[in-house]
Amino acid sequence: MRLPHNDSGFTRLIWGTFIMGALFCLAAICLISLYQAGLADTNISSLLSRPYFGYVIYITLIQALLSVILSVCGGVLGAIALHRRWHWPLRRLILAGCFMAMIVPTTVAAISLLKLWGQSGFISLLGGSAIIPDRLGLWSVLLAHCFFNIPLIMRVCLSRLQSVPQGQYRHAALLRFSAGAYFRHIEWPAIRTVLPSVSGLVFLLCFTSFSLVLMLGGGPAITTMEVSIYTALRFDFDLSKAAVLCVIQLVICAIILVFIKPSSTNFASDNVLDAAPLRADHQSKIWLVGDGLLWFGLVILLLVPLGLLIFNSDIRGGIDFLSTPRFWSAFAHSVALAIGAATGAVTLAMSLAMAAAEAQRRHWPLLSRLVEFSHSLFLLVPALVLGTSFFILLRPYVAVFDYGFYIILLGNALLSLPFCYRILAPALLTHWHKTDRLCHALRLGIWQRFRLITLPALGAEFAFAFGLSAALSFGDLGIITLFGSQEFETLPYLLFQFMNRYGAAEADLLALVLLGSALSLYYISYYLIKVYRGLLAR
Amino acid sequence: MFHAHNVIIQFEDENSQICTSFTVQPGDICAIVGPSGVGKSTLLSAIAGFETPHSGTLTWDGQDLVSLAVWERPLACLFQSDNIFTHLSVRRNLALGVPRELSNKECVLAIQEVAENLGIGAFLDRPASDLSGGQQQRVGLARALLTNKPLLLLDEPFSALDTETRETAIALLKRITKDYDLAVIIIAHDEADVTALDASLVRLYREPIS
Repeated sequence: MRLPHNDSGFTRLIWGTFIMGALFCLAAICLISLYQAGLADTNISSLLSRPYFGYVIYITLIQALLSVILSVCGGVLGAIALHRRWHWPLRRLILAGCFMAMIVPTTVAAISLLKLWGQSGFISLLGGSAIIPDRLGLWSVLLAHCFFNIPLIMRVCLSRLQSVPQGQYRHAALLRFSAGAYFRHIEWPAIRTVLPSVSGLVFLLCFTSFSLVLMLGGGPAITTMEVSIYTALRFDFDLSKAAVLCVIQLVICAIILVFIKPSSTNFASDNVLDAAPLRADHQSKIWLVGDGLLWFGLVILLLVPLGLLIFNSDIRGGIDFLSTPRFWSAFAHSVALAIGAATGAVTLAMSLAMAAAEAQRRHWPLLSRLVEFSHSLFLLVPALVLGTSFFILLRPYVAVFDYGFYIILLGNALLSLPFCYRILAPALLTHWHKTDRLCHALRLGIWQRFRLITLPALGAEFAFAFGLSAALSFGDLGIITLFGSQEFETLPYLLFQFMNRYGAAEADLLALVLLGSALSLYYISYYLIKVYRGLLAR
Repeated sequence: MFHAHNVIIQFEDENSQICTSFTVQPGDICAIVGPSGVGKSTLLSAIAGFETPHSGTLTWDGQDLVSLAVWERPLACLFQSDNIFTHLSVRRNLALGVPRELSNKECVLAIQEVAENLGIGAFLDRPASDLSGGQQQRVGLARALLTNKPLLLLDEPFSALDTETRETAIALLKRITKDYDLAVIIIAHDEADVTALDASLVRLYREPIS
C-alpha cells in the first residue's frame, strides 16, 4: 500500500516538473521567435563583422568586468570591516543601507546617485566637480552598479563570516592573530567558497543591466546589449538587429553560466546578519584607520545618496501631480504588477524547491539538477530579451500593446524567481526534512501543511522573498520601456519620462513615492505574515 | 597559581547568578561540574576573557587577569570542537601556537617534540580535515602546549569522543599536566571523568540575584 506521504510527494514532483517544463518551453519559444525574426535569413558572419556589434559586446563586457572587480573588492572589504568593528556606531544604519539597496528601485537609485555625484549634486556644490568630469557615462554606471552590488556581496560574505564556528574566532583571539592572519585563516577560507557564485551573479546582473545604463550611460558611448536591443526596437524599428543582439547576449550569458554557478548564492535574511560576532581582535592602528575609511566609504556610497533624496528634494513644484489620474493609474498598475509578480515568483520558487527536494529524496539526481537549473534560466534570458521575443512572437497576430500588462507581469515574476528561490529553497528544504515525518504521521495535506506548518515557521523567509520580489517588480524599468504607452504606464516609467524631460520636481516626488511604496510593500507583507503567525499561536 | 575569588557572573534575563571561589596549583586539574545551563562555559569564557564577570577577582600568581586582553592572559583553551583550522595542515596548525620570538629552526623542533609527545608526529603533513575527532583534539591540545602558557582551560573536551578514545585522552591529559606543570581547569559533564582525572571539584549552582 502506498502511503499518502508518497502520494503528496509525487504530486509535488509532478507539479514542479510541469513548471520546470513550462519554463524551458518559454525559453525555447523565445529562442525560436528570435531566430525566425533575426537569424533565419541573415548571414551571421557578415553581421558579426560589423563594428557596431563588436563595440556593443566590448563595452558591455568591460563595464560588467569593471563593475564586478569594484563590487567584489568593496563588498569583501566592507563585509570584513563591518564584521571586525561590529560594536561601532552606525552599524545598524549601514546594514539598513545594505537592505535598502536590495529594495530600492533602480530609477530611485539613479536619481539619488545624481543628487550626490551629479553635475548639480552635493559633491559639485562642495567644489568637487573636477573629480567627476561628466555626470553621465562609465563612471556613473559603475557607481550605480557598486551601489547595488556591494551590499549584495556584503550580505553574502557577512552571512559566511557569521557561520564560522565561534571557537575559531576565540582561538584567533587567544593566538593574537593579526588582521592578515585573520584574513588568511578565517575570513578568506569562509568567503572564498561563495565568491565565484556571487561574482558570477553580479557579472550577469551587470552584463544584462538595462535601466541604470539607460538612465546614467549618457548615450551610445556607454551602452549594454540590453540598451541596444531597446534602442533597436523602440527607435530604429529594426527587429532583426534586436533579435541578433538578443541571441548574442543569450550565447554570452550561457557561456558565463557554464563556468560559474550564480544559482548557489545564498541571500541571508537580516536576523542572521544581526547576531553579534564573538571575536576579540588585536587592535592595530593601521587597520583601525583602514576600517574607519571603509565605513566612511560605505556611508557615502549607501546612505548619503538616499539621505539626500529624502531630505534634500524640492518636491513642492510637483506636488500637484499627485492628484492627477495619470499618477494614480500608474500607481495602481505598479501595485498590481508588484503583488501579482511577487505571488507568482514565490509560488514558482516554492514549487520548484519542493520538486527538487522530492527528486533528491527519490535519488533522481538528473531531475533534481534540471529543476534547480530551471529557476536560474531567466538569468540567462533577461526580462528585456523575454519581452522582445514576446513582442516579435505576438505582433503578427494580436495588438501586442494590449497584452503589455500580462507580459510585464510574467517577465517580472521570472526576473525575481532566481532571488526568491535562493532565499526560500535552503530554509524550505531544511524545514521540510525536519517536519516531514510528523506531517506524514498527522496525515496533513499539502495545503494544510503549508498553511499551518510551513508558512508560520518560515515567515521571515517568505516575507523576505515576497517583499523583495514585490519591491523589484514595483520599481522595475525593464519590459515596460517596450510596452509602455500613454494608456499604460507604471511609476518607474513615469519617473523615467520626467527625468528625460527635466521635470525635476515631479521626478524627485515620484522617486520618493517609489521608495516609500517599495519599502511599504516589503514591510506590509512582513507584517501580515507576522500577524498570521501570531493568530496561529493563540 | 590560579585563583578565582568571589567571582560572580550574573544572568540578568533569568534574574540569577553564579558565585564561586577556587584555586588551581600548577600540576593540578580542577573540574567544574554542575547541571546543564548553569553557566560552566560562561565561567570559562570569563576566565579566558571573552566575558566580563560582574564582580570578583581572577589572578595568576597574584597578577590580575580581568584587566588583561584575551591574548595577554597566560592561558590556552580547548573547546568541544572547532579547535583547528581545517584548511591547514597539522604542522601549520601547530605553527600558529609557537611563540613568535622562536627562530624557524626552534619552531620546527618544538612542533616535532610536542607532536611526538602527543602521538601525532606521523600526521604532521596531512590536512587537518583528514583527521578523526580524537586526533583533531590532540592537535588542538598540542597547539595549546606550544603556546607555552601555564594555564589550560578545557571546555568538555571529551564529550565528542568514544569511550576508548576518551580513556586515552584522559590518560594523556593527566600525563601532560604533570610533564608540562600545567594548571588545568576543565568543564566535565561526567563525574566518572572527574574521578579518572584525579581532579579537584568545583560545583556550580544558580542563586537568585540578591
